[in-house]
Amino acid sequence: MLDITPSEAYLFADEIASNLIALEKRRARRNTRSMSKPTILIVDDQHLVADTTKEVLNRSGFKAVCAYNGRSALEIAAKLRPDYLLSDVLMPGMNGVELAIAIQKELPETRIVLFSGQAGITDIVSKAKADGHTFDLLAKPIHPEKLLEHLKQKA
Amino acid sequence: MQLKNMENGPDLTDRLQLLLAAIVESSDDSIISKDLNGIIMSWNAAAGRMFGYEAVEIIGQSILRLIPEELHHEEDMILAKLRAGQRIDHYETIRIRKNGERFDISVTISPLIDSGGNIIGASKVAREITERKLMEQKLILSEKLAATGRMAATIAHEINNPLDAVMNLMYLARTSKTLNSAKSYIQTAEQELERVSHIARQTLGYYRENGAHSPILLQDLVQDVLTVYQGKITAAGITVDCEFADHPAITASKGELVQVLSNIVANSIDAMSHGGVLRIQIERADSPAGVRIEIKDQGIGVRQEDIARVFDPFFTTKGQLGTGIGLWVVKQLVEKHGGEITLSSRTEPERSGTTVFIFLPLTSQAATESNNVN
Repeated sequence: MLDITPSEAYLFADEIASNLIALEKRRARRNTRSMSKPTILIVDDQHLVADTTKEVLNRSGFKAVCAYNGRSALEIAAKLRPDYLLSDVLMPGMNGVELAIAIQKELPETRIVLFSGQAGITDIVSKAKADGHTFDLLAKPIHPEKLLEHLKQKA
Repeated sequence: MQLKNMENGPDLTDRLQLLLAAIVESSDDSIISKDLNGIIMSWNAAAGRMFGYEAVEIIGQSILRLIPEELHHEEDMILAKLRAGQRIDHYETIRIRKNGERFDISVTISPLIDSGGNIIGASKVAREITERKLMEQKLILSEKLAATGRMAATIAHEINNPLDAVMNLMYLARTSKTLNSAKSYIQTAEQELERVSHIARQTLGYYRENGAHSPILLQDLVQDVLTVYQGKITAAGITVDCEFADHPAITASKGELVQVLSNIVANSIDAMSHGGVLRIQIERADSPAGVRIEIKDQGIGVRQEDIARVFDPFFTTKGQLGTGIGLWVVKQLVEKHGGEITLSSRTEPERSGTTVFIFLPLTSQAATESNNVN
């Protein structure tokens, strides 16, 4: 038996109810999220690469958004909280690896894929690896179907 | 000369001379003396091993027998300097053995002065440097391969980006609902392919050539090198400021000059990871006739104590990332073209940066030789 007063019991029930409501809200949010299109943030200083990748992904069931440098990508990511980040490595200012490390810290659920025209040989990637940050790295050029397949595998 | 443990006596001079002769005879370097007409007066054992002549067959002969015919003019220059009482230190040249084989030597020539102060001839101390020259050639070749590798990685980046866009565009065209939109994707793809072929033409073409000399306008070469590094330049936030005054074409090896310029530009880019201005100036030079090029960056600079060593082989300020032979090869190639290269640098914050000055003559000895061969 619980040894509580009626007013305490009232407060207790209220707390349980509000917890249940919060839980239900979270569940509902998760359901709508899983039913809606996955969001992907594409970052590349080569506008044409970013824009065409966005079109490809939008046609294939994603909701894609573009950024052309690391800083604006961070700002967009903070608002959008994307499911995926697809970023170039060599970019002016903040490079793709710095961006990926920042996003990994702020949004641990975002799945990160890097792509580069100089795959495997960039000092930046090997330095990040030495610091314990390993990211998927795709080599450009990548066929759109291969990219989609890769993203599906990460879902 | 001072001697230890030798008692003074009437035969001291004789014993001293015997000792000196023994030193000369047992030296590993060739020691030869000649008079002011270039006639060989003495010949040690090492000279015999190096040139293949016994002392008896060469003493009294002209020194020209040891010099390849096309280098006979060197002897006039050497004799003129000796008559003026000057010394020639570590002069690197080619000599010829009795069997006709040519080899590289480094020779130091000093005037021989008698007790009356008259110049009576010269002593030549020569060391064979064929091995060292071979090592240097191998090193130049390996740096050439490394430079090619670095350039290939940069070119790969410049080519793979447009190719990535082309793949996307073709996919979008293929999956387009209307012919018009498909056409528009294909048009953009064509423009990107044009960019790829431009980069390939500007860069990969150099590796097909064999170092043959041809007329070159330096500003074109600079533009080509900048095309290759455009991606890196943009990525680092560097502004390029070119000032090309009217300058004549020079006769040189295009591939080698591309290597020279790309090594320097790559160094500047590495030094300016946080941006800045890369200023490249080219102008004509009149005496001697040629072209002067100045490449100035606002990078981190080279410390004063390191400046003297930047052209030394295996010296690097880039830690694990540098091979330390880039600038050394640049200097070898510039000098091979009869040119000169110097570097100045400062490291004070806000005012730091490095400037490389290169002079290249209109034509060089190397160009003339290469054209004769061709």
